[in-house]
Amino acid sequence: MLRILGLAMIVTASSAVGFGFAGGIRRQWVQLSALLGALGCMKSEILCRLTPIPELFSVLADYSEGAVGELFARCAAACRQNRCSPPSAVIKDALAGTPGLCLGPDARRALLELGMALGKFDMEGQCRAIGLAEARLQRELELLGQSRRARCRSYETIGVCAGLAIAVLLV
Amino acid sequence: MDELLQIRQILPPEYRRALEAAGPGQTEELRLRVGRPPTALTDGAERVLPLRTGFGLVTRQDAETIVMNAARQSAYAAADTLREGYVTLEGGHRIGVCGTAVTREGEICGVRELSSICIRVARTFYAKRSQPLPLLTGSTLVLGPPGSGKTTLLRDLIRLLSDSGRRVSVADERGELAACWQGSPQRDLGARTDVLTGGRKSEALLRLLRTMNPQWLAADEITAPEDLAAMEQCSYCGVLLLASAHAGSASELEKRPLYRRLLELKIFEQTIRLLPDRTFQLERMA
Repeated sequence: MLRILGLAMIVTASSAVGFGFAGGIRRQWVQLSALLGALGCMKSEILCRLTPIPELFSVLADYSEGAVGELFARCAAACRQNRCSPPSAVIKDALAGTPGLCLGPDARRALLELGMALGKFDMEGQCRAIGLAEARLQRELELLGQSRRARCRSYETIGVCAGLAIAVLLV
Repeated sequence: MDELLQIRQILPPEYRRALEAAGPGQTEELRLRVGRPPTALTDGAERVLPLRTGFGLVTRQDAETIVMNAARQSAYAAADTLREGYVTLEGGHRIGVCGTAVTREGEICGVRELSSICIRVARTFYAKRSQPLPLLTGSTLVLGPPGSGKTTLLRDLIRLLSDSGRRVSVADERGELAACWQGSPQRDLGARTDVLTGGRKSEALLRLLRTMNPQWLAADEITAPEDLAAMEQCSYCGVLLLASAHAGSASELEKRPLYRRLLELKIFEQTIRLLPDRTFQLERMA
């Protein structure tokens, strides 16, 4: 009985690791989609209301959910704390410190480069910079979308199979 | 209230220290000219601010950092006022910028390579206590040279009118009168005052007239024929006007075509002239 319980635990743990990896990919997809939505909102806020950067981050924090909302909330808090912090530094710190954020290196780079341009230029320049970041995140999302299902299924299958294999070997 | 708080927040640390080291006194302006030591206009005299060794002269980067800090890292949000050569800070402080004008189709659309900035401290009027502010009964023009305290006197007159039961609407083009911050005026303009911040005075005055049903309309600094045209239109609608103009006296007004026209229109019944000793004089217009 104890042996069966042990084997079941091994299979469960291994499957959980596989499902965890698959969940990470799903979260990445959800977060990229949320970021794209936030950038759309950012563009509208700048174009229609000329919302200054600190309020813009607050609006985006309310607009977005989960880790992306938390990312912008951290940016807004940093701006409130020190108005001399440039958006590039604020975004960099928030990217490093937001828990649960699982963006790939390209998406992070796109956000950092957007931070370098934010606030520095006129409205036209802002919209161009946001458009560029949107295009890069969209590409990232498409690439992820193409392989997302297959990768998730692979991770889940590998997790379960690895657990079963270990169980068989132990038996 | 610490009137320099918002200014200190946008200054690099070294300038902040220097401003504090300069000691007490009524600071009216801070002037930062690239390649020169920073100065402060305190109690009517311009004095060099003591920076530590190695920080002796103002750099272009310092000037640009201060302007970006004032614009809250959002150049696009302050683009309209920067085109006119200034940024307004919370608290109503105004930062004037000089440098190389960027032109597009013959019109100035911005300033680059900043050469100097002038931070004007918004302050509460410090008229002599023996001279109470008059409760106005007719359209009034506040006259005084630059830096004489026209805006601060105007603000106090608006507050007095408003708190005495009049509905006052204010066209605050530069955000200096009410210093609105996220919709709330930071400067007390009274209980019955409506403020429209930003936008051209001429448009704002007519919009306020149409939408807010004011008894008094107030605006700072008449500078353009459109302002005058809007005031003329408002004056025919049973509204009293309160405004300011750059001039030492009513006779000086006659020397400038714009103000000559203003005198011809007889929109204003009286003037309040600011005197060099910070007192003022109420005079009927001829």
